[in-house]
Amino acid sequence: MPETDPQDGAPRRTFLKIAGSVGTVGLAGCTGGDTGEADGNGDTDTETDTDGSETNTEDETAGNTLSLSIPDASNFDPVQIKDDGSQLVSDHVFSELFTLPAESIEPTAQLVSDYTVSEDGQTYTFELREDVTFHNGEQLTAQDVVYSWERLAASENSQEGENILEGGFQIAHETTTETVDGEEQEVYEPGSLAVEAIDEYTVETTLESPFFDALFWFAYGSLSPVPEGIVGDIEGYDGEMEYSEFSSQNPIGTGPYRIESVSTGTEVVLAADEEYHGEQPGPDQLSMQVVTDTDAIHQRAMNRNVDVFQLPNSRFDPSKVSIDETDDLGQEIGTYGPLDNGDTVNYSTWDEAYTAYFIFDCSRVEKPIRQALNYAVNQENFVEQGFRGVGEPAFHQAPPSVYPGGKEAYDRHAEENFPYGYREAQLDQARSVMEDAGYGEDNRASITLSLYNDRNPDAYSRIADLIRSKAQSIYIDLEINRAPFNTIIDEAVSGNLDMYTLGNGLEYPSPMDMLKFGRPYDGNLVRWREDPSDASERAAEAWEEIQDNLGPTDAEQEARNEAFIQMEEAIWEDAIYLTNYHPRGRQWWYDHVDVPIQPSGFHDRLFDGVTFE
Amino acid sequence: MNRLAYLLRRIVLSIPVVWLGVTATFLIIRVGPLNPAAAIVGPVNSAQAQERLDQIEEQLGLNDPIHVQYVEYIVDLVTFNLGQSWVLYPGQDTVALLVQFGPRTIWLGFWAVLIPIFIGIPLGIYSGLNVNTKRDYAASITGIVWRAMPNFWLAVILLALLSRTETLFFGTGWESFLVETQLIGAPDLSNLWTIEGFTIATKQILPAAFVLGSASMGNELRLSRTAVLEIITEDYIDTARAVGVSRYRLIGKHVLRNAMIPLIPIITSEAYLLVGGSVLVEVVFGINGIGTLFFDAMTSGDLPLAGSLMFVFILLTVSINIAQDLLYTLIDPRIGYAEHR
Repeated sequence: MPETDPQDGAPRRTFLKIAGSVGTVGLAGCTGGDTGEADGNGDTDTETDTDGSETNTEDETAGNTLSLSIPDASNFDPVQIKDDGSQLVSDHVFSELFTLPAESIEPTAQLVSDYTVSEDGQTYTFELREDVTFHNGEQLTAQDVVYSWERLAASENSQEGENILEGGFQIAHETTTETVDGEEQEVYEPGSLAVEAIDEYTVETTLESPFFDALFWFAYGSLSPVPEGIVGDIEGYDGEMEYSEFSSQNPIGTGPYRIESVSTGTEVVLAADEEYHGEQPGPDQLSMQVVTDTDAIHQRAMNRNVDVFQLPNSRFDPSKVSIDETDDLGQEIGTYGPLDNGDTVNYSTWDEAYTAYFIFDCSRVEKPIRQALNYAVNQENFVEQGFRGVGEPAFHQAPPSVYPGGKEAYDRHAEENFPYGYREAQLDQARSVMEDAGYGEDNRASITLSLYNDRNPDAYSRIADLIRSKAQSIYIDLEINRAPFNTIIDEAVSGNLDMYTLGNGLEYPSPMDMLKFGRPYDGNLVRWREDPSDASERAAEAWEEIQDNLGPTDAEQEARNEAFIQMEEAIWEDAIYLTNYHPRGRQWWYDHVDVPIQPSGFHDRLFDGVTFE
Repeated sequence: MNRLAYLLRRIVLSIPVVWLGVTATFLIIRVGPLNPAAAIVGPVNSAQAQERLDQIEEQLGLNDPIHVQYVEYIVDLVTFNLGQSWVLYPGQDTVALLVQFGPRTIWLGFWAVLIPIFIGIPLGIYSGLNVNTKRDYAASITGIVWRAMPNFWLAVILLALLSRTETLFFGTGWESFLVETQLIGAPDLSNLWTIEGFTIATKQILPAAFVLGSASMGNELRLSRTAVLEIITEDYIDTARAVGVSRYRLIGKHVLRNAMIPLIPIITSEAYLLVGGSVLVEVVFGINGIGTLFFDAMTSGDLPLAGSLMFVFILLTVSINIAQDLLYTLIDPRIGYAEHR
């Protein structure tokens, strides 16, 4: 995606100026109605036509209900950390101030009609649209936004507060010192968030410092507005309902769907909201059934109980895929089949903006061993043998879609500079690194690789076997341990693991969101600080450089990009990771529905643009 | 010793059992390698993970000394202040969850116990009364094979079979047979009192209940056969027959009633299937009952939820045990409460 970069670098102001007009005009299209582009537009129109005349026959055809399997349904509160199923529900119930249009990862206005940014790039003033109502009938006002963001920062139920309180994007606020277990901690001072309702429909917020991807955060799910005072978990509000009712039974937002019914942990039914601020959703209802077992998920898909589905990796046969076209953001669109039930269905993939890797604890595994393991493997094999060819071998921390210069630059840089063999294993080098460090047949190194057994277990087992057999031949005895994810993360934080599986998905499209982990600092799981080197120093300096250049100008962008690449190279030099792959999202659907192609991992998963044939 | 005193004694004796059970749950979750905070954080890397971990641990009170946590936990349980889920359904009352998830598992368990009782036991009795005939062999072999098929395998096979039944069930296939249901999914228990609702809920649960009950069906068949065989060779049966008791009366009153005695603990112990055995079947059939809930709560370290469920399970088990002992005395007057001297 070479176009990612220039777009990103385009002066924000140009975009901001046209945003006023885009605001209202663009809104109609931004909800996914025109996602299908070539084939979608016509359908969308006819759908709107038939929708009215179809009401009579609705009962016979069971309405336009889209059925899905989801992996979980527990808490839909925007300020809570959610698993995929709850996230899907939340995405449909809540709308954000900004959103990503189907064709790009450049945010456009959704709930705002106009906005301005101050000269210093720190103060954002949003004019809210006056025609937006919550599912409870109340109108969206500036106070709702203030309340929602204060909840995000101050509520005891909030798990996402650091998104606006820490890191590059920070809304200005004050902290107080609190003593917890004898330790002094800086915590958010309730009520101090720099977000203000200027009048009924104008919100003003001030950032701690200018941030190039600020609009992205205003499009981020946990900043979605909820009705003011809906729950009483911050000062000054009693709450209109109990927290558990809001979070799990009756979340109220401004999204395309409202809650029809929730059967906790079992089924969520959403109904199209007639008052929705965007284009009227295609399906009248979304029926989401919680299914966790992979066989059951597969069986439901085969029995045609669902319209859109995902095949478990273990059921995926790459030879059944045929890709017909590739879209602007690298989405692949085609068909898959025949399935076990004989049907051939539609299939699409997209970039998840995620990097999976194995982390070394540098304080436990010495550099020669880390380097040797990097030499010994070929990431291509991980994808081919582990993930059945779906995904791209990872060499950088930044996924190709956000790498400076896009996928082409990513591949070129890796091919020219990746020290440990680009798409090839270099066992001789691996052995000589080990021998130089004093290891040999009589003096073998031994480390433990910990795998999660609750995420892609079969793929990771195959990959672990692959690594073990390579390690064997370079004087490393690799022991494989399996544990659930939460055990792994806990042990990793306590510093008890040598090498383990982990990955990270990006929240906003900048390598920064990934590289923030690739530097020596206190609390880093890699523990690079405990094994200092020239490279770690360079990484730290490059990170400083990035922090000094967070503004929206071209020059700053360039400085950042340069520093990103320095960090990538420093990470390579010390081999603090064994990179694995960049996964791709996948989706299958039957012919009787027309499903907009999911553009990227940054976009909300929304099914309001689905139409029925 | 009268029945009431016996009951009271049993209740007092069950206190240590309950205490041991809930303590074990606490230890497994809090002293074992599970960290509920990590389960909440999810798969993210380093800095944020660590900060979030610290923050969430603080919120959940995981940094308090372990004995403080323990005392708090026990006091909450004893006062039936079962708290709110941490990880799986954050902020929701465990009691509410129990009410949501419980009925489905009870419905599943109900049929899983009923099917074997009405198929296994009659077949066993039939075998016992026709011992060493071809009919007996056929029934016995079926029972043994049935007993031998593991749940997880049977569940998957049954799913696959029922998905390919377009030509069976009078040409409708399983999903459209009688009423429209989906093979996988939780039964809707909200309309149980209407005929249609009852049929749908029952049909929805039958495949799962059949699998869950399959092992006990085999068990009950074998045991009732043996029990009948033993009784039928007793002298008093000969006597009864000699004095001219009719065959139906003989079987009904003398054989069956005595043969039931060893079967009672078998049937009551099947109630435990509700707890342990249902996890797998619930997962495969997408029923999302209490078994799955408990399993997920345990593996994600959701202490309030797992602890409360465990507490309820233990209470249930202990009361079923007591009920079973009382039931004995009703069926067999020879069993009393007095201690042997």
